[in-house]
Amino acid sequence: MAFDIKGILSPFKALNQMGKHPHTVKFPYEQKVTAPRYRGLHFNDLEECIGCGTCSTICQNKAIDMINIEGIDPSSGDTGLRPRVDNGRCCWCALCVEVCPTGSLSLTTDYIYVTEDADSFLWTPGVDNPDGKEKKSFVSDSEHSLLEYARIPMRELEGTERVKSFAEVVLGYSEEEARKEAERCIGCGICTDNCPVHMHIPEYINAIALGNDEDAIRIIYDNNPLGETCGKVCTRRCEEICAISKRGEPVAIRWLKRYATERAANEEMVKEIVNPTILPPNGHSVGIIGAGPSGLTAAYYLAMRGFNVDIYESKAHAGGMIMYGIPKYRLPLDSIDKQIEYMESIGVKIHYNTMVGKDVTLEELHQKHEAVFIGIGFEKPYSIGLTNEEAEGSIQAVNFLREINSDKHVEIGDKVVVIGGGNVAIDAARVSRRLGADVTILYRRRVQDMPADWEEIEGAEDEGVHIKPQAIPLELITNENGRVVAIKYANAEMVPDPKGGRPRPKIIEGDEHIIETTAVIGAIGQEADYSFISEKIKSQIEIKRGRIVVNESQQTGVEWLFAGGDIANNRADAISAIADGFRATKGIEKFILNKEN
Amino acid sequence: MADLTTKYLGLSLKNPVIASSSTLTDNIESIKNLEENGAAAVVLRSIFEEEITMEAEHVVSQAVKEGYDEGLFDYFDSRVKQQNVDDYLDLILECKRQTQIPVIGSINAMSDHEWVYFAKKMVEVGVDAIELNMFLLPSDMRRTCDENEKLYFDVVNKLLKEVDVPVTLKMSHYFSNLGMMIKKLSETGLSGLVLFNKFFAPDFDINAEKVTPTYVLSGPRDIYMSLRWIAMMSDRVDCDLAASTGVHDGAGVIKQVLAGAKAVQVASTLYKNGPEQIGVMLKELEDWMNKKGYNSLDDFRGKLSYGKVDNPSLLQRVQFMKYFGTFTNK
Repeated sequence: MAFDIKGILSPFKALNQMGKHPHTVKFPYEQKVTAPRYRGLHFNDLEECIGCGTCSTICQNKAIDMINIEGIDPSSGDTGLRPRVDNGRCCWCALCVEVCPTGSLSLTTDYIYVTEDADSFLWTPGVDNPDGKEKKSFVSDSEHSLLEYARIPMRELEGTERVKSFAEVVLGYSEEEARKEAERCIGCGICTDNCPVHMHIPEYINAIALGNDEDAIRIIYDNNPLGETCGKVCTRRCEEICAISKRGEPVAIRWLKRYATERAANEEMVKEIVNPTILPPNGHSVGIIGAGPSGLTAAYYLAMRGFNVDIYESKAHAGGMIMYGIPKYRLPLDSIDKQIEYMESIGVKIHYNTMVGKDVTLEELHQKHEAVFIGIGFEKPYSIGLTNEEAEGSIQAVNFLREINSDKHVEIGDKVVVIGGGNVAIDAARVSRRLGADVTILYRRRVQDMPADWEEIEGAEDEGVHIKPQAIPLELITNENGRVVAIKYANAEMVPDPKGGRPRPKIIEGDEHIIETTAVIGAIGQEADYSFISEKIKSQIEIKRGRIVVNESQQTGVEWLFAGGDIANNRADAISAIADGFRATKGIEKFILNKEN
Repeated sequence: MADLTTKYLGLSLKNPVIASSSTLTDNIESIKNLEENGAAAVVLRSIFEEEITMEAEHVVSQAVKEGYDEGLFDYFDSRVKQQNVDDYLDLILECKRQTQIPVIGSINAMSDHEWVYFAKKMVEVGVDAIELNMFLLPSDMRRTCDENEKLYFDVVNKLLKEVDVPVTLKMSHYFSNLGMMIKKLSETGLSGLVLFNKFFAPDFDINAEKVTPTYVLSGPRDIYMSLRWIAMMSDRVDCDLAASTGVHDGAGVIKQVLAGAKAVQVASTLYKNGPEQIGVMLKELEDWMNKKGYNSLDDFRGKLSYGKVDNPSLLQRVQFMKYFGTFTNK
C-alpha cells in the first residue's frame, strides 16, 4: 500500500475554515432563515376567516376539522367555526391555503412543534399562535390562489337600446358561461344561511357545473316554486355574503338560478323535470288570499301535500307585485305565466277577479276552509303629502306600474319627475324612460342611502334617468286646468342623527327650485289595506307598524289565520315572501292535522 | 235678556267663549261635551309637524332595533303624517256632523310648505277657520330680529294666498316691538289675532338638579298680559282680537271684552273646573250685563281700550314708581 501524504494533511484542511462564519445554526440562540414561501405551521387570521370550511373540504389527509371557538359567534356570513389542524396528518401541501377564499389561512416560517402528548397534534391556527401573523410565509394571494375571483359577466342590452322597448335587459348566460361561472363556487354553503328560503345553493350550482341542469331544476323547486322569478329579480342576500366576495366578485347565484330554470321552456317541461310527488287528497281545505309570492308558495306546497287549496285573487292575473309591480323588462310575462301554469297543473286553484271583503268575506272563507293564509302584499301607496297631490298628472307609482303591466295606457307626457329612492321609484323611472319621457328622480337623502338595489340605480342612470339627491319636494304646481305642470323642491343638507341613525335631510332655507314636468310619480312606500278584516278579527290579531305579527309558523293571533309576505316580514322582497309561504305550509299542516287528532 | 252673540273671524258665535286648542278638543266626545256646556266654537288641538316627525323617528328606531331594514322605513314619516292628517280631517268631519258650532283647525308646522299643506287639507273637509299656532323662540343667535319676524309674514302671506277660509294667528309676546308687530300682522289680511299663546316653560328641580316642566295651567292672574295688549291694540288693528291665557271666569271675559276682544279662548279653567265652567262664566257675564244695563257685547266692547279709556297712560305704564311706593311690607 503506497504512502499518501494527503491522508496525513487532510485533517489540517479544517484549519482553512478557521475564522469563517459557520454554516450550522446555533439553535435555539439563532433561527434558521426559511426559504421564500416556506410551508411551516398554519396561521389563521380569526377576524378574516368566515368559517366556510373550504380548507377542511379540500384537505386530502383529512387533517382539518372545523370547531367552535370561544368568543366567536355565528353571524350572517360567518359560521362561527374555525379550522383546527391535526399536525400528525398534515403534509403541508398548502392546498388549504390556496383555496381559502378570504385569504385568512396561511403557512408560517415556524416549523417546530413540540408536544408531550403524542396523541395530540391538534393545532388551532390563530388561537395557538397569535404571533403567527408576523411570520406568514406561504399566503394565498390573487397570483397563487386556485380560485377564480372574477365573475363571468352577464350580457345585457345597451342602455340606449333598452329604452326603446320593454325587452328583457338581461340576456342570460350561455351554457358555456353558466358552467364556467358555476365552477367558481367553492360549495361552502355560507350563502344558504342567508337565503330566507335556505335554498340548496351549492347543490344546484354544482349540478350546473357538472352539466346536470335538470338536477339543478329539481333542487331549486325543492323549496322554491318561483325559482325562475328569483333567478331574475331576487334581492340575492346569498350573494352579499358569498365567500368569494371577500376578495372578488360573488358567484352569480341569481343568474345561475335563472340559467337553470330557463332550461325548462314551458310548464310541461317543468312538470316533467320536477316530477313532483303529489300526495293523495287528504280531505282538508285551505283558503289563500292573494296570489303573490307568499300565497303561491304556500298553495304549491300545500297542494303537493294533498290539501285542497283555493287562492282568491282580486286581479285578473296571478303574481301579485311580481306581476303588477315589477316591469316586464326585468320579469317578462311569459316567465310568470309559465310558473303559474305549472302550479295550476299540480292542483292549485286560483279564483281570479275575486276580492275578499267585496265578493266574499274573510268569515265566509273561514267557514269554507279550515285555515286561511293572507298574503295580500303592500299595494296601498303612501300619500306624497304635497299640496295638489290629487291633481291630474300626479300619479302613484304602484298604480302606474300596474296599469303599464296590464298593457294599459297612462298619460305621462315627456317630462316626468319621480319622488322616492326605492326599487319602485327606480322601476317607475325606467318605465317612464321606455315610454319616451325625460326622467328625474328626486330623492331627499344621498344616493348611497337609496334603498333601491345598486344594480337598478346603475341601470337607471345608464338609461338616462337623472337622479337628483338631497332634494325635498315642497309642492306640486298646477295650471289653470288643474293639471300638474311643475314641482317645487328644496335642496337639503344632511345633518347627523343624534341617536346614531342615518343622517337626516334638512331643507336649506331659500334654496328652492322648480322643475317643469308633465307628470309626477310618487313612489315613497306602500302599506297593506286591511279593510277586509272585520273589527272582531282585528281585535284578536296584532298589527304592528302596518304589519301583522305572526309566530314562527306564520300563524296570527287567530289560530286558523296565517299571514306572510310583505304584510308579515321585515324584508319586503319576493324571496322573503316565498320563505313565509314555505313556513306557513308547515304551520298550516301542523295546525289542521293536530286539530284532526 | 242680554245678547251674548259676537262675530269673530266673520263667524257668528252664540257667545264669546271659545274652547281653545288643547287635549279637550282632540276628540269628538269631549267637543260635544264642550258644546253642550256652552262653548261657542272649538279650536281643535293643533296638528304638530314636530310631533309627527318624532313619532316616525321613534317607530323607525324601534323597528331597526328589532332587525328591520331601515330602508323599508325610508319615508315612514310620510305615512305617519298621512295617518295624522287623516285622523285630523276625520275629527273635523265628525265635528261638522255632530255639532253645530264652528270648528277652527289649528296648525303648528316647522316648514313653510307644511303650513299650506295642512291648511288646504282642512279646508277641503270644511273647516270653518284656521288658527296658526306659530312660534319661534328668539334664541337663534344667527338670526336677526327682522329675519325672525319675516318668517311670520312669509307663512301668513303664503297661506292667505292658498286658502279661502278665515285665518287667525295665535301669537306670542316675544317681539322686540310687539305693538308694531301686532298691527303689521293685522294688516296682512289675517282675520284675527289671538293674544297670547301659553307656552311650555322649563323649571329646575333643585334637588335632582334637572330641568323639569313647569305647571302647565294658567291662573287668573295670567290675564294681565293679554288684557293690556288687547286694550292697547284693539282700536289700532285691522282684524279681530281674541284673548287667551288667564281667562278663568266671567270677570275675565268681561275684562277682555271691555278691552276690545271679540272672543276669549279658555282651556286651563276647563281643566280645573270642568266644561261646566263655560256655563258659569256665561252666567256671570249675563248677570253683569243685566246689572249694567247692557243689551249686547258691542254696548261695552272696547270701552276700556286705549282709544277710549280716560287715562290711557295706565295701559302703557311698566314701572311701578308710586304704586309700589305706597306698598308696605308685612
